[in-house]
Amino acid sequence: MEFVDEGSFNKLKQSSLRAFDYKNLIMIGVIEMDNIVEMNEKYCHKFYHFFLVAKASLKKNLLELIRYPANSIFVVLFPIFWTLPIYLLIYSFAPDGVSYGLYAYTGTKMFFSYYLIGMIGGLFIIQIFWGMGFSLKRLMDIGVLETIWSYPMNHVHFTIGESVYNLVETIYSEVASVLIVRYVFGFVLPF
Amino acid sequence: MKRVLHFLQAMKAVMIRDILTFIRYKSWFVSIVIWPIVFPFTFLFLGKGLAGPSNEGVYNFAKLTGTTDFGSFIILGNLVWMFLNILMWDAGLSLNNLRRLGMLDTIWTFPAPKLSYIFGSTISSLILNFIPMIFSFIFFRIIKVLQFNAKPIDIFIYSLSILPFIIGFLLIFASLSLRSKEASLVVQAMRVLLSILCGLQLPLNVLPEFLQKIGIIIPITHYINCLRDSIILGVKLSDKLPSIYYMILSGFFILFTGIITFALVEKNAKSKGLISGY
Repeated sequence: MEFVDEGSFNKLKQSSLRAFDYKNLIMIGVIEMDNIVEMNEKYCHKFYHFFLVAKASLKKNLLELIRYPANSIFVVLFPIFWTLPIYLLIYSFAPDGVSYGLYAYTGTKMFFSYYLIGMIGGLFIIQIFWGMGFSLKRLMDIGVLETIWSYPMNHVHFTIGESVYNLVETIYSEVASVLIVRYVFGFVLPF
Repeated sequence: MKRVLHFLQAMKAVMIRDILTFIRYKSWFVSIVIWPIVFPFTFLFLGKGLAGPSNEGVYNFAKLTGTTDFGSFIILGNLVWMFLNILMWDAGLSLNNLRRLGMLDTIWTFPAPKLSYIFGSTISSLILNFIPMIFSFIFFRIIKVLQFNAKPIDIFIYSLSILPFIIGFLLIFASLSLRSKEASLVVQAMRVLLSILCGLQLPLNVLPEFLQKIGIIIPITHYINCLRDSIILGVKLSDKLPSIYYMILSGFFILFTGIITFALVEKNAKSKGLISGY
């Protein structure tokens, strides 16, 4: 009944329409209401909304990555950039990866394996701070945050969506870097 | 004379703009006080872990560097590396940052010598970032991780000698970043190359011989060697004169090359319409 406003309904009632027409009208109203409820359930369900926003965020970031291909190379090179000076510093103390200093502290001589576990955790933390923490700031810097923010969507979902992309990027970067340190630098993997 | 005054006026305006922007965002506190103190600790503790509680693992390092004081060696290298790194992000990418913020085309149309934009950014960045380095230096001296056997005037002369090279290098860097629209990858690559080839975060002798030969050509290698020799070993300024001459001569050569590169890129950017758009 809420679908037909009260004024129009009374008007119809006052006119000499048959009872069947009233019923028919109400039926149409109920069907329409069901459609609206179904649509609301489909599009405004929190999970579906989150999925849509996360998908859009992922697509946006991937398009940006394709637009600037140098960045996709950087995702792989980033851990190497950070690791190479550290690797060479370790090499200057322990050329064969065997460190007596580390043995005195921890009971293991194998510095490269020891360091690799810390490196994986450290890179995750770096990516979380720079990627996830600065995702909105980056959009603000390039002048698109205002437009995105004014879109009728849940902002928490959008921020999580950005974080999901960063998580995917971090995992990709981690796997690539572990493979590179294993096969290029010759680190012994602890697993 | 009028042209020089015009240049200096524009440079001053850029310096004031950069300093005001810096003060406007309160996160400067992190970059001034915390970052230069926290960052070298990563490498310092790495060195400590490798050296062991009573320096049992320092033998190979001492053979390469001539000192067992790995703490001073690592901290000095990291501070110089950090200083260069910040300069590259601030002054080297100053034009690119303006383009990213959508202000470059507005500023570019102003009737001022474009070279003054880079000079202004470089000098403001040098002033703003030199202060945290001093803080950090004093902090590590107080906690007795860093020894200091040099005369402060010697350090000042070494730093003055490297200045033309730094300005010239940043000029070339800023010119090239104007050409490529996504220049952060270049900074990332450059800072690793400088760290390795100049022996900033590691001993240069650990590299293969051909890389050592390339490294010794770069004036920053001479600068860090002068600093380390003076501060750690107490070597006098007179023993380092060849390095000082080399830094000054190569510095002015790079500065001159930078000015020419900038003029060429400015012309090229104008004809290809590289100023607007990101």
